[in-house]
Amino acid sequence: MGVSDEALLAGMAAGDPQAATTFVRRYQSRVYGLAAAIVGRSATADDVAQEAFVRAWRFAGGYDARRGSVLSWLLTIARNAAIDTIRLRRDQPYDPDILLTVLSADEASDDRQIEQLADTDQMRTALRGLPREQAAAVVLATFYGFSAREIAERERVPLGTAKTRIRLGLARLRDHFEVSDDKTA
Amino acid sequence: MTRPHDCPAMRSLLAELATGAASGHERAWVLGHVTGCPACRAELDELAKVADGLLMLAPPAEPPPEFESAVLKRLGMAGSRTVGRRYSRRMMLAVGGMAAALLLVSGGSATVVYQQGETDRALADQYRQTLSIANGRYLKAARLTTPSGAQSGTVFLYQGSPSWLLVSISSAPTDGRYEIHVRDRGGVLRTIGACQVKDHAGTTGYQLDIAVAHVAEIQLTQNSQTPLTATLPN
Repeated sequence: MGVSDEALLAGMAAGDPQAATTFVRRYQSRVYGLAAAIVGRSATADDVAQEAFVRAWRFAGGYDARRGSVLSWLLTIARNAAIDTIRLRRDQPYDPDILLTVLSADEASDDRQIEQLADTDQMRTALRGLPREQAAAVVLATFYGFSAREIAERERVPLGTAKTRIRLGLARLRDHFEVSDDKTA
Repeated sequence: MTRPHDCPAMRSLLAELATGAASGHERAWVLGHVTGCPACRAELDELAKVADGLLMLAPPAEPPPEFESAVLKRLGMAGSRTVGRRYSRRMMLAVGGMAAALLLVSGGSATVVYQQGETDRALADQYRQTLSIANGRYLKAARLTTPSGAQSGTVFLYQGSPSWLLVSISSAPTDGRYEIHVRDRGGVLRTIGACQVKDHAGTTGYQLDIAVAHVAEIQLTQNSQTPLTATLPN
């Protein structure tokens, strides 16, 4: 077993080049993969992924292990960096249906954490089971940072309908994927 | 204030907050409620974990070959020379933080106090000394206000080499992450970083790539809303 994620993050924050190198190698494919899923495979995805690591380094002191894994925290940072880029450059984000196909596909993951793999499989199964309109609403909000009003405009439905889709979609995912506090303790 | 009968209305908004789809007004409302409602806070935590878990579904992809070295370079860890440069920049920010701290009196929350007789003159002396040590030219400050005009903090802009911006928030309307944007006098808006706010307070600093004199406005946004603005006089 190698050095823990938390130790690598602390080392990177302290300016240790070796810790930073190991941390980047460990998670670059996950961070770049998420960036590419949101902004497309391009130089933009490269920029977003780089920015995510820079922000992780800058805000390492804000990581709270009680709230989730380092990977989950890092991917949230990457998602935020991607959304910032989309808004700043006014790019048209990908069609949610394309992203849904990517997210729902079985993945031969190289993830080293078996427990995390099981969770991911559960989540993927749950997402596949959602009605398309609920899945699209959840994905537009979670990955692209769309507000309920923006989702309503994009999907051409009333605001209340968009809100209901987000609420029902996330509730169904939660019901399928029982979140256990023990797993993140 | 939190009232138990708010819970049904809140429950319908928790998913929007967890996914980031809630509007600024709704965010403030829900966050104000969950602060005093353990049941809704627990529900929000669960939904947020589900939303975060969705990000795990993005398939891994190999970045370009030079990715690792590019990241390390940006972190100032690609070589001894760049390490030194990065550390000096971080030290500059630290010095900046200290300079700005001279203008802050913190007692639990960071409250800005300007006019305080002798204390103020002493601070002015320290301020001049700090500027001379760092070869700075001047330090500007402007109130950070909500759309209704209430002061929520202060921004400090330092003209030097490098120039930098320090944002100090003492009473933000909501907690969370605020994107920091700089609008120059030509109207161009650029994002330079973010400030994490906890318990309505937060402080962060960034290097400025334009002259302080060219900065017209600092905006802090949250979910596309602009809850906090500081206008710099000419």
